[in-house]
Amino acid sequence: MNDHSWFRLLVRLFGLYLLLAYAPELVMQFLRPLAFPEGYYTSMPTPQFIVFFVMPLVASVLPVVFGAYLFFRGNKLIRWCMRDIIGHCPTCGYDLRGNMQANCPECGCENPYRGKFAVSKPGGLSADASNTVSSG
Amino acid sequence: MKHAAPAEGVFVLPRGKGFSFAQRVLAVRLFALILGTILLAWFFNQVANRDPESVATTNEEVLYSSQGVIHTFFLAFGQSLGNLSWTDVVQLLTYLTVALVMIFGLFMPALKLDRLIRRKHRS
Repeated sequence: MNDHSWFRLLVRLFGLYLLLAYAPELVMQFLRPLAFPEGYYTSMPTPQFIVFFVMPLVASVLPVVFGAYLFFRGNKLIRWCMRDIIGHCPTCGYDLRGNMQANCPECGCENPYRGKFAVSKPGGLSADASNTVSSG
Repeated sequence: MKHAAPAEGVFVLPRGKGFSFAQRVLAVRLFALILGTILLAWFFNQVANRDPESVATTNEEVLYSSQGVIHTFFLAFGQSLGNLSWTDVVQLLTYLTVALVMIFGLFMPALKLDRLIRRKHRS
């Protein structure tokens, strides 16, 4: 899993970028009604209020929330992005799930998932038996 | 991450240089995630930052105030979209399309994505 740490780092950096880029805009959206109170609080909800306060607010809230999620939590999204990489050979992409061999049958590189997906497959074949079938 | 070294005594066919399977897929997904998010945020900003003078007159304000918030929102949103010029519309639609393609690209299976990336390198 440490091989993909660069991906985690870049996702976190992107979250930080979203926070830094859009959080000031979000603060400005809250400060704007304080600077021009008569334009916002006279007759809510007017189209002006909705389009020129709520819409920019939404447009700046969403990136900030998403950036905060990526920066502080984000593990679920990162796991989802790696959903079909885990279990495959990192070099050639060969499906190594259930493969008990020390090396990838496709490219010969070391099998990092050896024994980690040793579950019996449907049809009564154990992991070893299915390996024999697939590699043979 | 570099290519994992093959075990000793294992003959490996030369498969060319470059990035590994995981690197290719993760790099493309990261690129799609970044570009899709930035373009979507940019799209909403562009739609929201319209000219305030032409959205509604005072009489229309009274009319809208008498209706529901949801209805008012869609009327106002439609009006703000109506203020876009043709150039703006083409630009917005182009970037929105690219953003949606990027987001949907995240759902593509890794093996298919890898084949797509490497297709031009095949003979």
